[in-house]
Amino acid sequence: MRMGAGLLLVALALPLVIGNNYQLGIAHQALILILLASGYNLLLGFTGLVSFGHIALFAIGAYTSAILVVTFGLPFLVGLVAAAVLTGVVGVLIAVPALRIKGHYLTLLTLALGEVIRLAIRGMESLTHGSAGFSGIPRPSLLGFAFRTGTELYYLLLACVVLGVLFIARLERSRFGRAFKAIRDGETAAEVCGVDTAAMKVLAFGLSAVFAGVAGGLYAHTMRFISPEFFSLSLTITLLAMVLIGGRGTVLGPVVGAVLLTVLPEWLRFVKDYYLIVFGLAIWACTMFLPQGLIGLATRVFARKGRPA
Amino acid sequence: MLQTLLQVALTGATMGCIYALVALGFTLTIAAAGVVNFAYSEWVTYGAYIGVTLVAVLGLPLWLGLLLTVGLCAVMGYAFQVVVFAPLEGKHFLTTVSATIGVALAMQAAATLIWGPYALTLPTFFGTGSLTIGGVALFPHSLLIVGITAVLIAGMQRALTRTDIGLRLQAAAQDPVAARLMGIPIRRMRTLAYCLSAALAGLAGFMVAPLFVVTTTMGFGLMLKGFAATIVGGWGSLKGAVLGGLAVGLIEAFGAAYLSSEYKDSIAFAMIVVVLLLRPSGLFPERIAEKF
Repeated sequence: MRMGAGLLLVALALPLVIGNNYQLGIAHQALILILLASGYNLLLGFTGLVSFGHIALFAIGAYTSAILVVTFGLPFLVGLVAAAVLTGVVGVLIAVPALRIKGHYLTLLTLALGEVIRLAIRGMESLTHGSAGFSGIPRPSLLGFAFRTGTELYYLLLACVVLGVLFIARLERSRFGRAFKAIRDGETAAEVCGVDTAAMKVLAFGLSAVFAGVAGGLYAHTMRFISPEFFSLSLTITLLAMVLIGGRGTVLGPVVGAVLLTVLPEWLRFVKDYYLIVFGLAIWACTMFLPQGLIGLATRVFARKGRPA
Repeated sequence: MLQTLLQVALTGATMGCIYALVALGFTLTIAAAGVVNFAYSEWVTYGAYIGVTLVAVLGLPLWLGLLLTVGLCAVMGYAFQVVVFAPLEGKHFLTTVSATIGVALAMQAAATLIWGPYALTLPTFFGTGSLTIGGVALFPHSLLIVGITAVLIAGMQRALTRTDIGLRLQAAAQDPVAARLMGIPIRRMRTLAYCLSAALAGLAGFMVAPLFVVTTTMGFGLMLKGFAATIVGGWGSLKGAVLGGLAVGLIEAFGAAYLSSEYKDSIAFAMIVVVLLLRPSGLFPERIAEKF
């Protein structure tokens, strides 16, 4: 709780410190990825379902909002809500076959579905402009107020992130959060205890898809250009790494992971290949030695300090 | 008409054999140790790069390069068993997947550092010419791929069912506890599986290199096809991996020729989806491992 409040204060003050638009752009990306990773964590961290097709949902959200706003001239809010609804529906549709299969089957099914969706987006040229990409997406505007400057946009994205993270924190302590974790820790046991595992899995898929949809919509209107190449498997791996390195199954883990893995590559741009080696080894080391990620490590360190010597 | 058909079938069979080799190595660790190895893509890539280094840089003859590549890859498999897989034994599926993905990323970046970002090429045993028989162009290298795959699969089948060590390997895969009680060293059998798996990956990388160019991402693309072959053929089944690889190669070639070449890459993914939804046990489910 205290950690979250501290992070929020830093986030609120950030635009006062960073001046240039380039750094602000990175902050935008980090915020959107926090939303995406937090939703993914619902599936991976809380419920223990390993989906490799999550980026496709992100892409569907981005394209839905872009097409509705640019091609059909609808307002931003309509585009964003439609993105959330459509990805939610797709997420539930993916969940239905996912109920029958487990483990590696689920991972490979979602990986294949994700790639099929991405290639389908690339193929529907009349709607999505294909591999040339979709450009000219306007910045968001709400009730007549246009978020034109980088700072205004930053606070809009931050508001969405705060809402999203608060929702997950609340969810974690609810009946549903406990049910998700029960499924992760032992599906048969959860079933025996009266958890409707099928309904809970569909819910987890649907909720995490809605997060991906909203993040996708915001991404389209922030970057103002999207192309199918961006939503590739390497982004899936980055997303997985954000949740694992930050700390899966924790509320703040994906937040920390998303910020770290968005900012670090920018700082270390000049040593790109070395960075990737360290990135890969960090994923490995985290899964082997820090199953709770950096948040788990921080919690342990603080807990030790708090104890009287 | 018929010539096109034969040409497409030959292309499909060649790629199918490559996919079969890739899928066979990938399945071997699933069957023997229950490990889904996402670093497998890099084993294939490194096989191709080691081959290029030995032949193009060090100037070794091609056949010696092939043997050394397979040997070095087997050593790499052994190193993986010690460093990566032994600590992962008995861990959750997610742990294995993410750990091997991490290692794969690091290896891929290291390959860029070692061999540079540009595509390299490997010569074939027979130059670049092609034979024309009845209007169908035959690349001798394609025939070699088909031949080597056939010999290898027949040999492995024999070794697994007729030799002492093959039977021990099967026993270790089917029931590790019972096998251990019979005095079979499980750890050593798994090490053998990893070495064989890596050797197959290296062979696949070396053989596919002259057909395309050698890049740091070539192994990843092949591993995705290997996934498809494994799913189509039946998870954990060696026979399924081979038949699945051939099926993916042929269907992909015919789909690209007669439906749409633009969607060529999505054919394998579509096959994964369709098979998992309709028949999750695969088309040729005959497993040497019963525990999955």
